[in-house]
Amino acid sequence: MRTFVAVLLILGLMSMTLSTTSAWAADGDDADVSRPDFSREGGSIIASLIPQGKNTKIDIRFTVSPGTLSSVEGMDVDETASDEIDKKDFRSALFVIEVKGLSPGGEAKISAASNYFTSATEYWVFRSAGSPEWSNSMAENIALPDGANELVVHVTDGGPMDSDGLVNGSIRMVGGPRDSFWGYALGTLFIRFFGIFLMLLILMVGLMLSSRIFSYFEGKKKNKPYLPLTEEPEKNLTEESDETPAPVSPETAAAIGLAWHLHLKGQNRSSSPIMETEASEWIIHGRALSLNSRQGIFDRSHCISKETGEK
Amino acid sequence: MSWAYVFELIKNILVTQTGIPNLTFGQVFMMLVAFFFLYLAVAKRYEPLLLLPIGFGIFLVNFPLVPLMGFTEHGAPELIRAFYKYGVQWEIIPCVIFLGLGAMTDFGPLIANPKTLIIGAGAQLGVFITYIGVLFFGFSLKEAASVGIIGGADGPTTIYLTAKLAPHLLGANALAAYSYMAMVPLIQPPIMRLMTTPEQRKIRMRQLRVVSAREKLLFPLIASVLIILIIPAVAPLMGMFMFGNFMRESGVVKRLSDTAQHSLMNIVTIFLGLSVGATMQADVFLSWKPLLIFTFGLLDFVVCTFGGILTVHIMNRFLKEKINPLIGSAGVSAVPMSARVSQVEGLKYDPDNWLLMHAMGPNLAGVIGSAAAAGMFIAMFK
Repeated sequence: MRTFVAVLLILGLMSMTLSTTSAWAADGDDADVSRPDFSREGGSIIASLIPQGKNTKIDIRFTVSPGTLSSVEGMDVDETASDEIDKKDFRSALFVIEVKGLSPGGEAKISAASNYFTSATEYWVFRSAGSPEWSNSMAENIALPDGANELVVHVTDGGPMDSDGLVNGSIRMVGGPRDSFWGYALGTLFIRFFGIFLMLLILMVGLMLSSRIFSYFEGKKKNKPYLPLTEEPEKNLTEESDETPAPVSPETAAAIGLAWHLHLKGQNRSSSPIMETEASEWIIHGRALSLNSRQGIFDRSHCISKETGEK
Repeated sequence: MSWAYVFELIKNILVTQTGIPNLTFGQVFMMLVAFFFLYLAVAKRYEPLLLLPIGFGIFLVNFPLVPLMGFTEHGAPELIRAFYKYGVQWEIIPCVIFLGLGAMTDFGPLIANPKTLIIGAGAQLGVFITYIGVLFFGFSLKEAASVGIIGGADGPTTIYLTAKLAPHLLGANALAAYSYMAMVPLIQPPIMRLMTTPEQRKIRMRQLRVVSAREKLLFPLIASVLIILIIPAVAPLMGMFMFGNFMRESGVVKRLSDTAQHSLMNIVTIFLGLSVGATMQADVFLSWKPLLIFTFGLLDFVVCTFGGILTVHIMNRFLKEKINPLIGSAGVSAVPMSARVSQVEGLKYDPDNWLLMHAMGPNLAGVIGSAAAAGMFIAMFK
């Protein structure tokens, strides 16, 4: 109980220290999405980044048709600073996509494909002049044969998702793939917790089966007829054996007991010499203490004869 | 040479080469934290094997200007940084400790009653509840996973997962895990009493069957196949654990088994403790996060204990031969402390009811369960 109090005390001290030091910097460690690297592959641009909740890099391939993909840049979610969204829902990053070569007022299909996306992934678009600033682009979510998902956004030049707002033959779209953070966190929690049950359940079944197999074989071994003593193979006594010793007949047991008794009597000993030699110093000391304490019972030296007054 | 020059020189030496003017309030505070844990280790004997080196690591590293956790001018790691880099950052020491633990473990009670594996799974409830709980407080997914695993009550697993996912929380997580593991006899009994009736506490369980040496020998092989096939991410921990156990049960490499159990384990424990302690420098450690980690760590242990006992209650609904729910709390790894707690609590209500060996089953299942939970988290972030 005192330790609990001590722990509470130290926690209190720590919180006091917090108010006196500028220790809030560790808060920044939360942002674990890496800044994306971009590479161009023909008409596509590939963004490589470590998303939230991953240790390995993922790729997002951006393509557009018609028109040409001029550039794709990464953008921090914090830069949009809006209360309309939970930034945790944007688990990869935000992207600023520039498309050129369109006819004024034309429509382009911007697609983002990655095997990090799921069938539930949406593509949300940000427009600082819009109200609300954030909106769901209602992107088509297409499952590709290689296991990836492709999000296709239909954007009109000068339309609500074009952040430059101008009908000028080019589109600037700010936004990113969005997954429900809590949906993911709770979903994975559920799956993984029951995954542990499943794993240990399989191990349990495996152990039960193996124990049955062992019992079967060992039962078979026990039922084997005993070999005559002379034919029994020599055994290395130092090896540990799990086999049950062969039963000893009552006559043999009595004979062994008698022989052991006579042997000890002949040596004028009351207990096995093995037991004595194996006793540790601690046991011997304990025995000595125990015997000494018993000695008092037999010690008559303190008794004084009433008649003679002698001890 | 003027006096002014001499004074300036002295001032420069004092400021740049001695510790006193560079000592901060945070460092003094961290030294007090170090003394607290050293006190717990020495006077209270709470997990002294770990808390003592951790405490001393905290103490050493919080002196100003000490060349311990940085890098030399040639870019080489300084003394404790080297222990940390090659032992913890490279994820070697926790696995070596698992090797030693495997060599120390007798899986007999678990093999004799495999049903107790389910209790070990149920006792991981707190790991996942805490994982969600800390997310509400602004922890990232990786940080949340590393905090959640504290409830697995397995020091090496906690260190392994934290070093992998959130190394900046290593000190706080390890300290919380080992502190609460030491406090299992204080944390668990009230929950055990709350969740059981006196009649349930008196349930007697059938004596465990004798497990043959061959069964024990084959267990690490069977378990490795099943566990690693399902969760490959757990192979470094479980592989070493089962390898250690196989050495023990084979009986043909006594020297290796003894080394893994004693000398090797002791050596790596020293380096692990110092390294973990040394991560707790004032400028890194003093934040609101360790505070939350300690709070949630306690909650984690409580929920894990609850989960273990609840699992036994659920199992008892389907089983003919009832299980004493007191052994449910032993699913919280912390070998063998939590099994002992089950035994002590059981004896209070029936002096002839010896639960220790029965409780060792869920206890060992808890080790496997917490390593599996760690593997699940690692796989999740891959």
